[in-house]
Amino acid sequence: MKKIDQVSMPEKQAEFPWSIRQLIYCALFTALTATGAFFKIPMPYFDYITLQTLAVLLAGMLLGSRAGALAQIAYVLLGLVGVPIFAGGGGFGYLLKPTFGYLIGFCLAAWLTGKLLDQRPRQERKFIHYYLAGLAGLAALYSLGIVYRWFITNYIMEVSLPFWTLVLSCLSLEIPKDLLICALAAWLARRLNKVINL
Amino acid sequence: MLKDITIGQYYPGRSFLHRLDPRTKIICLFLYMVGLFTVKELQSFSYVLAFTAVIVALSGVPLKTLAKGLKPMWLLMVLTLILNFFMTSEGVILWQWRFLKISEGGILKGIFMVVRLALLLNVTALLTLTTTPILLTDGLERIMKRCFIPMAHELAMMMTIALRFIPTLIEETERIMKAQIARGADFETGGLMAKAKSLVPLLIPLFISAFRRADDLAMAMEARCYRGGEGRTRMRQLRYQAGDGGAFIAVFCFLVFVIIDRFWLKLFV
Repeated sequence: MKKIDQVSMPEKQAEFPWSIRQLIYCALFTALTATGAFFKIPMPYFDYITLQTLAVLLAGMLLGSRAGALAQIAYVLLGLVGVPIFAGGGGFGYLLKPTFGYLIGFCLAAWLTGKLLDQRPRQERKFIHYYLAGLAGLAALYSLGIVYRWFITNYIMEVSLPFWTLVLSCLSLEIPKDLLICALAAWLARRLNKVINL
Repeated sequence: MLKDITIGQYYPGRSFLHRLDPRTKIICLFLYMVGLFTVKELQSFSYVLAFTAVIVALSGVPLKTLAKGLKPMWLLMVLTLILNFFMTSEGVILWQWRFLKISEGGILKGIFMVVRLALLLNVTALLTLTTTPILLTDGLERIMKRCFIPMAHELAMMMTIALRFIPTLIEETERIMKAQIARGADFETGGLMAKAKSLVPLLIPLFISAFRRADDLAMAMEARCYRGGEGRTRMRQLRYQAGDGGAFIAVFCFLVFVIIDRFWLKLFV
């Protein structure tokens, strides 16, 4: 006689490495990063700010290193296969755009911000912890973005541009804006941490 | 705008390229790109152009639609052309003004770079023009699984869910913005600090409602016993057809020809 449970049930339930909730929150932050590119807020001295960096930092702050980075990887992949969610469209051709480095930087920034915060339990985190972790993430974002930009202009577009000229031209306008964005992200993260349940 | 995102740039049709398996298209695109970057002579682009023309003809996508896809990259192309004109000095110098000079080598190189960029952009655009985003993420998942990339299913699932979330989130943001403006919120005027502060009444409700949506979806999926990619079956199976084999062979032959030409034949040098 054959036992029913042997036929219908596998030996061991396949283990899902994550909770479904985590997976969906990742997808949510992928979507939020994409949405961020569409909302350009006009600013007095700069042309506009997008809310993308905010979404990236919040992904790291709220989801942690692994999930945060994964959300950003999904964003980059989705844009690369051609869904027009990057600031300038999408598609494989984006790999050759000088600004693609910032998109890889998104993954690194979310991961680093999350990694720095993971060491401290959620209840004990203060504004300053979020703020400093966010700044580290932004530093990672910009260093990767600028190195990529330099690489593309020099080796793909084959135009020789001095490295430091590029660094100055990229950074000078961005710094005050990003200090503000980072503060906003830290403030929001502290509030939203009470609401989110992963 | 909302419609644009969910459908991507998809151009509906039943052409040969539309009917190819998404995996075939992604892999062939990759091989084509390798071929494109192997070419080193401007003259060699003649046969690359011929091959690309055949692909475009097979896709059934009108040239007008293709040209429209190139528009966002227009600036990059012009910039590449101009920078190469002025920064490369090889061969006969044709024009000079103080430190600016245009040489024969510079012009040739600028044209070479722009042709390469245009070809690349056109063919990559064809991928999204002939494949729906859902099929693309499906194909990507299968390829990532083959390459032993961990969490392939989770990534593809996240991409599919995000695709569904994006229009909802945009709609939600617009709604909250209008609601707050009706209550007297001011998003337009003020200095840097005032603008940042004005974002708070927009962002907090946006995140809260987004989290609620995510929770709902998680519960719905749990209730339907979703448990990851392990042992999952599909309603629409991806299967390679005869056409896929043909496409693989054609692109592979193209790649081999490009490599032989570059290193041994040197037909156009």
